[in-house]
Amino acid sequence: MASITVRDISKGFSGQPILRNVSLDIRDGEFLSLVGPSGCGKSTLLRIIAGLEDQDGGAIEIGGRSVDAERPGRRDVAMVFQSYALYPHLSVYDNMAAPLRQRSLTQLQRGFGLARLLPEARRKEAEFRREIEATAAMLGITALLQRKPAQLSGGQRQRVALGHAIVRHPKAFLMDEPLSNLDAKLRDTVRAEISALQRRLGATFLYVTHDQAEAMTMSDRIAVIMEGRVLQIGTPSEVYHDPADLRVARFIGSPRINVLPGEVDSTGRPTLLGHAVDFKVPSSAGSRVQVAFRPHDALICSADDARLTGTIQHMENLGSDILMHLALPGADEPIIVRESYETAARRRLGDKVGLKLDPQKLLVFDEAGSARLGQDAPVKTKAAS
Amino acid sequence: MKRPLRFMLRLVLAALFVAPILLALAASFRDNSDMYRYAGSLSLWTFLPAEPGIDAYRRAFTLPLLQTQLFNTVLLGFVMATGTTVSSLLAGYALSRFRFRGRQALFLLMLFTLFIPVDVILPPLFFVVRDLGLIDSFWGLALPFIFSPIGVYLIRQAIEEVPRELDHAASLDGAGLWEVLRTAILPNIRGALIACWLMHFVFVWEWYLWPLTAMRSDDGQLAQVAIASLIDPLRSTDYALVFAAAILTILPAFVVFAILQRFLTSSQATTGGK
Amino acid sequence: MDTTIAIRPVRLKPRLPALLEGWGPALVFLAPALVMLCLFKLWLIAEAVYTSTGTFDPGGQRIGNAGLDNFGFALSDSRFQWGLWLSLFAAVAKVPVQLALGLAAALMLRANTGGNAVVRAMVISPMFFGLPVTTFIFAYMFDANVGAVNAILSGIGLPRVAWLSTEAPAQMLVLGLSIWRDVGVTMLVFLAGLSAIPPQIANAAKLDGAGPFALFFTITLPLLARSFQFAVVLATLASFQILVPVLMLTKGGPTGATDLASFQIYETAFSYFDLGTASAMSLALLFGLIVIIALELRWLAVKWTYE
Repeated sequence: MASITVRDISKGFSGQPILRNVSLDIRDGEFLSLVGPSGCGKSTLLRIIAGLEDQDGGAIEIGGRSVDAERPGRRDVAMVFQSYALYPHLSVYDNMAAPLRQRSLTQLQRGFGLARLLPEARRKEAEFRREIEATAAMLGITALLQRKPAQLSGGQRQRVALGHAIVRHPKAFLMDEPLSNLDAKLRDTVRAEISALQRRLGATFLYVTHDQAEAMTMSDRIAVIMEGRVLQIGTPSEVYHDPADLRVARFIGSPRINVLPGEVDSTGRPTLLGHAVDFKVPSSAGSRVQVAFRPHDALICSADDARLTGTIQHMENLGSDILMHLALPGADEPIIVRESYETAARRRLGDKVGLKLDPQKLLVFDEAGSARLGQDAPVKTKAAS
Repeated sequence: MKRPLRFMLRLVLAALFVAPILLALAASFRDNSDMYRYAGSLSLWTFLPAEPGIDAYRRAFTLPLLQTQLFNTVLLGFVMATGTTVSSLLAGYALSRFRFRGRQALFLLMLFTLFIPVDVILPPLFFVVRDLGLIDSFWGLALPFIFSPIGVYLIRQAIEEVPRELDHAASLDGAGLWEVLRTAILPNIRGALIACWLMHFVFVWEWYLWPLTAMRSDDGQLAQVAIASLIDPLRSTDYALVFAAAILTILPAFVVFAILQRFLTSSQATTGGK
Repeated sequence: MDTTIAIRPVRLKPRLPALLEGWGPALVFLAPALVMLCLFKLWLIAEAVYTSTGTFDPGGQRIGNAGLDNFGFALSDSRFQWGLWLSLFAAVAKVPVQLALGLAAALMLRANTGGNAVVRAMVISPMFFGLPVTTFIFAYMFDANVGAVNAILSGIGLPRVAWLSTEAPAQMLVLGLSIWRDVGVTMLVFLAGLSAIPPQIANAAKLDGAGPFALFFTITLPLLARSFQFAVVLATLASFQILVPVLMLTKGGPTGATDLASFQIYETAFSYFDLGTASAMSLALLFGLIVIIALELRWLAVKWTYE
């Protein structure tokens, strides 16, 4: 197992920058997710680390050793692809044996079937068999070893792809959206299985996904990548509760975070839709800010009790909870508030309600959304909003 | 449309294409006196031999050079089919998987050569091969057509359908450029390779103009070109002999085709995804 | 182990490029095809251009420069002009007939039933026999004395036709052979096009109340545009390749009725040994062919895709 260091990697395709000076440190034995919308460059980064793509600038180290001059096969990393990349003409056993044979057998032994009968090759084949059978047992695919990929279900193929990667004990595992071809139900199970597998192997996992929920549930740390830049690296809680950038806040979390534009008044307090909020931000008077809060950090009350009011536009029933979509005059998009089933049962579409925010939980960003504004302790007066 | 009408239409269509061929087959079992007595006026014996016999085949076998010439055709078939398939496979791999400046332009240039038919360009082609000193030689016949735009197109297309992730998986396993081709791509394009091979093999029986021009010695000539010289449209031709020889000529192509055609069923490359 | 990492240019790499970039590795694989392409296609054209500007002795030795005289001579020669017209006429006559027959056959044999598969195989069977052998077959069928066609004609009371020594019949024979051989290809192109039409489109039109004719003219035919373009180009190309029956049977006759440009090129080069003029004629005909195909590609360009 090994750490991976990514230094100032940049890459462009036909003049279009894909990655701009990306740096990352993946620790030995860590599960790190690269998450971001499609086209953000996360897969390209993974492929550069694997050596499938050349970077335009920057350097990659695996296990403290520079691999920029190494071919993919010499970097000793395994990759699990979105489409699994199983050889359709080979059995599961031979699929798993392929990397072992490729690495330990000579050209002659690989190329000609007869050469496999020589004692040296047979000794190696016996080793491979032990290795493959152990891996198959760990993944629960022993019964499938003689089948061809076409005879397997999606989940089984996924496991074979994992087996193909595990069997040769690579320094690190690179996973490119390995779950996106599975149906939703299976995905949840496999998610847990992969996490467990990673802990068991103690291996370094670099996991690319566009699904923030996957990244949140599986990783030790998450790197949020957008437009070719790493916006934030941190544990799932850090990224969720303490986003450094409004784009991170918007991307992580479901349902999405609510954002209201505001303006800082002469006292240093932001005004939301014309209503002052009771805390100060370190920003000059007159500057514009963006204030964000999670759906569970707001409360719906009667319209008379709050300064921010709106009408219920839509109720999204999740079973245990209901997501209330409120249309606030002056706001571009509806504000989403999570309410328990019991509380929400009283409400009707079109009701006029008030919205209370918890000043402690508000996240304030500058106008561009690219910097978080540290907030003063909220002024202890009657709750704003 | 009513059922019988549909059936009749199909029957007429089939007959239109098969009847001439059957007629030729029947003619090969006639002898000349039979042919010139009956074939000119309408009766059942216009189409079928009155006294069927294999005399024509016997005479075809005694044609002095036919066996050598037939061997030439078959050998040329194997060489052309193998040569075009190998060169198309390598070029198709490069054109599909490698990134280099002008790749698209090169591919288009290759396709564009499809628009240079032999009929039109025969004299300059003859000069080129003469300058290379290959006139009257087997390689003079074969080399000009070893590059086949259709073959390159066919195989590049097939390789495009093999998911790139398979190559990537192979190269992460440590495979080099040739081994990626061998392990990840070849097994997935078998259908296209056989189609390409078979097509160019059968295509040799199509040849007439080029061997007529570039091969002057009789024992290097292809069978179909030699047989053509037996036909003299303005005098009476020994059609029985012509067809017996022609059928002997195309027999190898049929045998090879019959053996290989079952591998033609489209092979779909998958990675196990989706 | 070098642990100090600075931003450095990565281009200088002592290894095979990861993703097959650049001409270097590509050339290894392209080499066989590229060599043949250069020798027998590019050099071929260059050779044609060079030869077309020279004068030659009957032994094939270049004895002088002719500039563009060969072109002037060929193009002002009334026989070659006639040959060009004939070649154009062959295209104009062959393409529509072959397309109509091929489309009709494809529509008729569209359904994937066993019987249709057999009939399809029969329609394309002439391709397997090769041009020389199919020419033998036509020579026999249309033989003035023992040919089945004349036997049938006389059998039903019509006059026998001297197919190869009368002008219009000779032309019909050569064109007919070419069409008969190539209808199968056109049919295959249209069958592929038909199978690519998503059945939902036809079903939607049927729900909208379209009858079979409306369905054909408003849905099927427009959606076959791409196949149409491809089939037209292929048929045009094939119409320039009907030299074999002319060379084997009619020798340009009777009285110049099949004196195609390509036949004249062959004769000029290999009977009269006038290499310069032959090359000039080759280039002129090739130019004409490419212009026609370019025009077809332009007129029949398709500007939509499924999805």
